[in-house]
Amino acid sequence: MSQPIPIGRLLRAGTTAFVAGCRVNQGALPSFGALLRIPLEESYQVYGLIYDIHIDDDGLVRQLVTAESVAEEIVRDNRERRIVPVEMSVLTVGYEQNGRLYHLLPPRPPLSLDMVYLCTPEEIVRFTERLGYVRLLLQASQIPIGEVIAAHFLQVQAAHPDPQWQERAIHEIITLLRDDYPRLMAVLSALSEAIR
Amino acid sequence: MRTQIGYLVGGGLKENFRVRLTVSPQEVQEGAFVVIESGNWLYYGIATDICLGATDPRFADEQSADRFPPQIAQALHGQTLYADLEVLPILMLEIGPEPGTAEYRAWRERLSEEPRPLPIKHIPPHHAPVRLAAEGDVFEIFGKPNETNFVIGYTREQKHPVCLNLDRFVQRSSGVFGATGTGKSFLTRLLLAGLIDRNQVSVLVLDMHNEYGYDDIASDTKQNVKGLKSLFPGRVRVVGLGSGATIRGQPPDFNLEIAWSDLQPSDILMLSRELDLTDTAATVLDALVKSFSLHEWFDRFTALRYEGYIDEQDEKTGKTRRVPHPESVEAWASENGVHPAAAKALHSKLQRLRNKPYLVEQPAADSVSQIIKALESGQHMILSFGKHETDLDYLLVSNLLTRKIRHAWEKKTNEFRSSGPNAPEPRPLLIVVEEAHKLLNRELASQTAFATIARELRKYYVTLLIVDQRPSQIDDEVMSQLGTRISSWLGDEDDIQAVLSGLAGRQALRGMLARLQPKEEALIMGWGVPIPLPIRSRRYDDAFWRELLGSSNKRSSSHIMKELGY
Amino acid sequence: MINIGAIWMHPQSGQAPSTEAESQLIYGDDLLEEHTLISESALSLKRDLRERTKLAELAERLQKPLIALTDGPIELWGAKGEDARAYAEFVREHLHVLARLQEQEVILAGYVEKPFANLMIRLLELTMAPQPLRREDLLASPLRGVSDRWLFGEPGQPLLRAGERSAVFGLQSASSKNYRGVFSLHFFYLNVGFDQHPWPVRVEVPRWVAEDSRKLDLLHRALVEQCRMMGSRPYPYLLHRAHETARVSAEEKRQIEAWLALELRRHDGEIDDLSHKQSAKQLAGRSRNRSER
Repeated sequence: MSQPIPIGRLLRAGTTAFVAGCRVNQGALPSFGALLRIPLEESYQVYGLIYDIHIDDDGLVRQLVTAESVAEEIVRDNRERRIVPVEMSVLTVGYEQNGRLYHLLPPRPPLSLDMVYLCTPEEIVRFTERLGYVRLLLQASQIPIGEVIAAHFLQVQAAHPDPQWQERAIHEIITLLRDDYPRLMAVLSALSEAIR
Repeated sequence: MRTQIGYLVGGGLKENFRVRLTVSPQEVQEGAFVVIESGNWLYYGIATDICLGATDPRFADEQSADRFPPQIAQALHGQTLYADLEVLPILMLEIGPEPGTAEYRAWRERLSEEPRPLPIKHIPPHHAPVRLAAEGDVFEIFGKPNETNFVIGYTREQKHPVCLNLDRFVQRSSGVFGATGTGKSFLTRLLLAGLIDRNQVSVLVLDMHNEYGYDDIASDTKQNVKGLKSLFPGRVRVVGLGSGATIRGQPPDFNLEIAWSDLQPSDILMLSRELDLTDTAATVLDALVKSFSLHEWFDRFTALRYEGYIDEQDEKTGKTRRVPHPESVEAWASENGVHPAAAKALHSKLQRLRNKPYLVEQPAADSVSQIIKALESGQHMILSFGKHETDLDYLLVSNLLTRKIRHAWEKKTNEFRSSGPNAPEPRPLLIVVEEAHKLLNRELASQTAFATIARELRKYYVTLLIVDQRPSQIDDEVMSQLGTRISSWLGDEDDIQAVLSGLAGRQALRGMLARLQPKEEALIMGWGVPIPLPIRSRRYDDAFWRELLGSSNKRSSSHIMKELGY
Repeated sequence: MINIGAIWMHPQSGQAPSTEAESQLIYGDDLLEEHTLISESALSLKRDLRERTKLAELAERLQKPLIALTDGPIELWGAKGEDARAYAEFVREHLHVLARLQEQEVILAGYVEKPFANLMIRLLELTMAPQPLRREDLLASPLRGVSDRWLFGEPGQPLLRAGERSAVFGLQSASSKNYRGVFSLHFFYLNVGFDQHPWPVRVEVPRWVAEDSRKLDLLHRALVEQCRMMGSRPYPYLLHRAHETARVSAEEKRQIEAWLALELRRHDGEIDDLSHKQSAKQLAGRSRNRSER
């Protein structure tokens, strides 16, 4: 069972994307491009990929930066102790029903207050075995798709280094974006950094 | 097993097939013989073009190898950049379902005859696999090497033996072409060796440069090249022109002398350019035949004095007048209503002929008949011109001899056709004409026996094998009557067009011809060749001779006796 | 629910402060006092007492010298009138806590930003008024309306320059009589702001701190340092963080309510619905603007 993100909850959700909030100190932030899952019912859970992490503008921090200097203790207090509200924008990439994974938009979106879990390496490997979800990823607009994919790549490789998976994934991306040259180049450029 | 090279993505019968290559474009050559498999059918064709493409031109324009790490660059290259093959489809063959299955048995029962390759009528669907032809495919289409199927060369990619069906080959006139130095004479020797070995037709070679009879030295390798007589001493006779002639220092089997009485006005007119005749010559010749007869005119006319006067007395007045000698040209001219100047002009030009050593009043033997008889009985003749290498000699002798031969064959054929069903067929004859453009150009096309033979399409069991480096000079009609054409590299656009005249898929073949290697490659095409194919020609060398003679030796003694004319 | 937060740090240690939060859920019969529901002010007292007690507990663990800050005056306010006995109990417990702090020699201070009792002005009025003192004279004082803050912190030329503190005064009030002896309350003013923008605040200290100049100096310095950390709006950093640690946000409140509801339903309890006014207020206002960034 994977680590639940403390007080991770859904703020708002649709079928293609949702926003989850959590209160963690900044050291424990979930990473950009991470794979999450939200169990809704006994045998149904939705999977998502973080494409934006937003830390709210904070009155206190704004104050602190106006001081002449900031003591080390204050810096550490803000980083390690203060609970900051973090909003994570998550793109839906699939769901699981009765033990079967589907790389499709889920029939029902997650609900408010549903707990959000970070996927374990095993769960990541299982979900990414087939590459149908890449299509959902690439369909999203107004997200830094290249960076998300690159971050996701790194995550998958960290979970289970497999050069064949990389090859298949690159292949899939090229096939799906073959007709959108500028987008494909942007994504591949970002990916180049990840696999260098 | 066939190597897969790609799959079908487009095109059709009119504009050729388009094949997406799944191997590197460097692994497929223009002219590759390919097989497309689909269901119960095989489709055969040749690759006529290879070109590069991209799913989006930007992928081709920008070098992704520089921008991306090798993994990504390679994936991009593989998925967005491709090479296409253009394939000219020509034949299809029904091979039925998988052998051994019930469907296969049912299919076989439905067949009324054994399936043969047919001209293509329907096409395979998208994504049908495309493969390089295997040896079995080459044999299926071109025949397996045996007595009838002669190995003329090998496929360029995989060196499968490619055969020419000799029996079909001789059913039409044919041509061997190529620029100077590209190996035409080697190809011709190869073909002739095969034909003589097969021995279903008799061969008469008009050997202008004395190349075919006796052994020669190859100009580039300085190796000995066997002559046809060395290869087939029992069957081949070398004929020299004129008594006492030697060919390469050797005496020929016999000599050809032509009687003056054989010369006809048409023979003379054919030599208009060589003899520099004027328009009046025809009229004069007409008059000559009228006055002297067809067989005597030459002798009598050329024997006349060019000029000469005598004094003649008028019986009435007693005055002496200067009049032309009765045996002078002038006298004859006035007697026969011919302009004296014209007659004199012709007379002086004809002296050249009269002086030719091989043109005699009375030949030692009827060598023309000898030649004809020998050919009829199955011998092969090589007429070497020896030192008589001028165009005049070549034109005159070749045409005259051929005229007589054709006449003899016409007679035999008519006899055969009017006699009963058991009468023997005339022995087919193949006449090999070197420097064909001298004899078969537009000007002479209507006048020579060769043109007639070419047009007659073996009506009288005679066909030609034209060997030439300037096919554009040869009469169009003759060229279009040719069946099989074997061509080495040609540089001139007109020559290429001429060789391809009358053939389907000309455009594609054009490029292939122009891109042949200067030596040892040829394109075979035309009637008798199922699929036009560039080949690496077989070498006319030790290995070939050993193989040829080895197989020859296996024949029975009765067979050999028969060949010797017994 | 009572939530308190505590935070402590070692200055110049480079170490992150430590925090503790405590939550106490009061329900059922504990919510009743004398058969009536406990009042808001009584709850506040409970909380304040809990805070001071926490300070004492922490003080016993941590190294000295130790400065302990609370927000507001030292004395516990509120609910005086309602239940004298309960209030007296509170005071007694408070004094007990103070005793623990004094024992540890903790430098206790109450930070009063914007005090409304203008003690200095009252003092001045007394000195300016004619003898004998009459109520009418005091009411008619020309200093009516002037605040201690203005007195000490006139912009441009403040009585207290940046970082300066006033003398220490003894606090005299009705309720302060509860704090006697070593617990008696004192105060001083401190300009935690700047010369151009003075910001005088009142700092309350018990006697054991007021009479110890070393403790006073430490306190003075610590307060100025803490306030400087907040830059243009001086306020002790740690107090702000303590508030933060204790604060229950609206979303958290909703979530706790939802959990409670879930548990109650599971045990077949009944829950009243939100007032319709309240539920209307809770209707999604700015729902999608964030994700459209």
